[in-house]
Amino acid sequence: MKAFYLLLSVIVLLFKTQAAIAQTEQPVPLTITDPFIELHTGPGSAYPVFYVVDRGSKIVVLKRKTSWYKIQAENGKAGWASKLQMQQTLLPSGQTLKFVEQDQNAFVQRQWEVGASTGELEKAQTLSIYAGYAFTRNISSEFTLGHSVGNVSSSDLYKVNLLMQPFPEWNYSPFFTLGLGSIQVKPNATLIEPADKNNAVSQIGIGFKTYLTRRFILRVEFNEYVIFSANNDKDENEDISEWKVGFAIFF
Amino acid sequence: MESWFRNLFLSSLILCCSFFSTLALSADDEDTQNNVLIQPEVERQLFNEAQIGGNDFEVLFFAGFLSLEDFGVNPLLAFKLNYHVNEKIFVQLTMAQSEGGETSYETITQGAPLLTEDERELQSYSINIGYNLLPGEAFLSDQTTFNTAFYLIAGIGNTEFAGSDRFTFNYGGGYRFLLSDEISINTEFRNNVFDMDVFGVVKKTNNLEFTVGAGWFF
Repeated sequence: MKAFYLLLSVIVLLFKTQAAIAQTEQPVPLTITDPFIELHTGPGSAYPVFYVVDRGSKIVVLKRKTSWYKIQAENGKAGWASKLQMQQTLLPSGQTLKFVEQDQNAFVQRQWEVGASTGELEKAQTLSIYAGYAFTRNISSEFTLGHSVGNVSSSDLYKVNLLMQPFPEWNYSPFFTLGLGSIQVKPNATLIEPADKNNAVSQIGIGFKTYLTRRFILRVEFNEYVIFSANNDKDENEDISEWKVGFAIFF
Repeated sequence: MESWFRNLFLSSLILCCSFFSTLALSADDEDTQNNVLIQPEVERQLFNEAQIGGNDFEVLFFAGFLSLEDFGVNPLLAFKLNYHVNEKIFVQLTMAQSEGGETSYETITQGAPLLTEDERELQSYSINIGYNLLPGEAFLSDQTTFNTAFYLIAGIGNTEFAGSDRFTFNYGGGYRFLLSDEISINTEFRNNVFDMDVFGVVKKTNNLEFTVGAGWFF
């Protein structure tokens, strides 16, 4: 259920950003400078071309799906054109239409990052989702919710960490993390001793992020955890390690 | 003396004139150049990609059936979030809820139930990657056409059932039927593979899921 609420809040956040981005302005008429623009019936190269708008014609852009734009010609015909062709259109002022794209630079200057990753936590398969906020280009803070499933037990992990990214503009940008949280270990129901254990953890980690495409990044990391499980019966804390590979979107 | 003075005066005047005229000429040159540089001062139209409303996210609600091995076929509700990376690939987060029915053993022996009511509740989540294998169109009549896509999807996640978490691998396919640019009707068929140990031995189970749902792009 916790995961459900997290997913729901992610959607609300996404929706808010999308709503903020999509401003309700009058569509700007554009002039075509390519010999022609092909209109497809759907947002993809596989959809057939059903209409062609000639050079010099005026069009308006209605919406976007991935890298396809729904445009409308003066005679009312509406269809999907690729970004490649749209890059050749002109603004009323005579300037070429500039596509402020999500690119490596946008990635460096991102504020929010939401992602999911999978890997192994001490030989148990683990899945986690996280949300991060960047204070500066180099420093961000993240909240991670992890769930791992092993043969004899499963565990939930909550963690808040600080992430330091010294070279955000590198293609493979390394980062270091330092975090605190809590881990709850739940033995499987078929075992005789089904008592949950709840312990604080500290974490230190290393990894890298790389920009893939549009709003997409790939992230690989290795973490070392110390579980503060020492008590009257046990002298030592536990050390466990984790590696993860994941994807994230930023905005 | 006078002629000498006049000569000097005139020559200096000519010199001055020529000097200033060159100055003026060069200044003119600069002016025209400056004009050229300044001339394309047009009203800047701040228009960019961000102003065009993007529709890359999609929320979906599904209802259908889950055939849970040994526990019968039961209704399933699912909530999904898609992010369309490009025209071919999308990623999906899924949350689903179902329950396990009675096993044949329980029905035949009429004995004590194997699981409590709470343990029969099934909750699962997964992270998936989808691929639009066959984008196309459906022609309902000569005039009405709808965009469609057959997609393949696979992912990993967790299924909580019978008191334990079970690491789950799922794969399947689906058919997306776009009523408009924003609204889609979907049907998905997936197999959820996870280990079960309810009967004392660990065995791999294949649990088929068939759902129909509606989605909204935003």
